[in-house]
Amino acid sequence: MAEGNTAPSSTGCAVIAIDDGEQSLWAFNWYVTNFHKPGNKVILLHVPESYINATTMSPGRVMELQRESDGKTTDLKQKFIDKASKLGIEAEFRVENADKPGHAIVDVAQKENATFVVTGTRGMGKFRRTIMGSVSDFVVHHAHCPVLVCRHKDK
Amino acid sequence: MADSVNKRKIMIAMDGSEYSEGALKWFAKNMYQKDRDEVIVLHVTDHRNSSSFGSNWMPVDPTMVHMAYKEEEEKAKVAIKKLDAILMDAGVQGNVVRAHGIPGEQIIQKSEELGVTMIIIASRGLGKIRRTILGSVSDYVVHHSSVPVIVCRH
Repeated sequence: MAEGNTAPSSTGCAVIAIDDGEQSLWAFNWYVTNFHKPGNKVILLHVPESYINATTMSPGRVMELQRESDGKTTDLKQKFIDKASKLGIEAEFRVENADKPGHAIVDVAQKENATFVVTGTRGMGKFRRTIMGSVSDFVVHHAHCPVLVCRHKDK
Repeated sequence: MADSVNKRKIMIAMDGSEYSEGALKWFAKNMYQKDRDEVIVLHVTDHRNSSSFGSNWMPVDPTMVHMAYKEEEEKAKVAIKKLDAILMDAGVQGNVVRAHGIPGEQIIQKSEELGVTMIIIASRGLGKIRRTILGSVSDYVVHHSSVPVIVCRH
């Protein structure tokens, strides 16, 4: 009986967690230079910071913050799509809104049956209610697939 | 425009546990590119278990310490041979390197010495006999490495 797919499963799916920080761009670059295999599906996943609290802020303020956040997300998307096309790889930029970035990343990786997840070690730190590194820690301990922690020694 | 594919020096930390073997197999299946990869398997022998033989109240019998040390060395030699076999089975061309000391620190030190591109480590190791908490070595490596680390959790 002839099998439909005779090629070995050498193509995978990479979920790369992106935030506004500098490390994300560096991690993406590093991934493409050292890790990427042609045929790999790349999902650039962005979970925006959600410090908007509809119960304590005025509706006007909420809308203002939402617009700001959307604007930042659009800029980020543009930056990474540009970078991806410069590096010559096809990548999908996806945005998930969630309170807990770690959970969202793990969920997307699960749904997409990712071969691995790429995260940095530092995040934004300013408005996040999380401690630096806690998202990557969560992902490392809960992802169903290997996690590439892109660690960049600061100069 | 063809990009010149750069060489990768990949260090895989293996302690002989099935988890680290799983990490190697994952690497062989999903990442390994024969022409560009130089693979180094690092095995760290931790002698803390044998050097503090005995208790704090009684003087330690030196011969017991020596025997325990020798036992660890023998176990390590067996583990190294097994690692060579595992590499061959997986179809990966690599060198097994040995280190002595605290696993986390040795992995970091060797990775810097050898100038590796990335480190691959399983999230758990030989958790049964060792006094370390499960996952503490991989945690240490992730937080102290100067290069990207892949943590394999199975």
